[in-house]
Amino acid sequence: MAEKLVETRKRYPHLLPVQTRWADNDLYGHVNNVTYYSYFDTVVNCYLIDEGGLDIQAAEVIGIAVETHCNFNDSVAYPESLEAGLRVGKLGNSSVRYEIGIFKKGTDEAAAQGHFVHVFVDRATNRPVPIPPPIRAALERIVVED
Amino acid sequence: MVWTREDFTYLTPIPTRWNDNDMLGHVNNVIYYSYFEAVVVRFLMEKCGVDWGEDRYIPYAAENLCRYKKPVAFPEELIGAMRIDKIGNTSFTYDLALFSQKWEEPAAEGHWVHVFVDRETERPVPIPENIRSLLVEYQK
Repeated sequence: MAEKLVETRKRYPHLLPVQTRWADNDLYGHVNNVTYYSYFDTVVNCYLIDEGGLDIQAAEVIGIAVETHCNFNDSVAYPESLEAGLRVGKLGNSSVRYEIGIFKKGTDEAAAQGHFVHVFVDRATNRPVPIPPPIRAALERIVVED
Repeated sequence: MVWTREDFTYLTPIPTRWNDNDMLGHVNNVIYYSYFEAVVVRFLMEKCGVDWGEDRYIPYAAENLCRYKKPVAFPEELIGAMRIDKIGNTSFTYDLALFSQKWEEPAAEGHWVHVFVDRETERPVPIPENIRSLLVEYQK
């Protein structure tokens, strides 16, 4: 766990405010580790909807999660307000690797950092298809090379 | 290499719930981690005697990963499977898988790293000896 470099805010071109909720805290009084993945789901899908025009009710092409990962560097807790940083680490033909950082307000170092891989599939056949152009254009805007 | 149930040392049933499915009609990717968590927490309580309310040294999640192989959905009952992989000084790693009744191979697989910390300071501490010796029994 300690080998990994802690990510900083400037490495994420897109930031979404995340309001923690009472039920996010677990027995330890911290946001439960599972809940961070719902923040990941939220920042990724909001970006696809707001910037890529994804229609989650009617779209014929949808993103399916194939891999997720998170390193927990520091704890966060309700009622803190957080920010989720998003960038694209790798943009393929039908798949995309998002990289996400969770930040406490006003801090530069990520409290948690991870990745999320989506494969875009045809909703009817479930087969991989090229990423639709409006979504690809939005993703290209937040590509950050290592 | 494809994992099967026989590759694991601790298995436990995982019921799904209506609300685990998302609008695509499958268990949402986030929920898999709550299944993994149920497996490791149940293991620590049942087999290692961890008392979350009382123990001075308690495990914190440091890292986890999931690869989604096949979709699962409520009302399936799943099997959560675990074995201990690496055991370090303060942290250790579980290999985890979720099995559906429908397939021999896992519907999802991943890993989870727990680090023991002092409840007061939240600083890493060596894995308590009694727990370490139990973890070794579940290594494979």
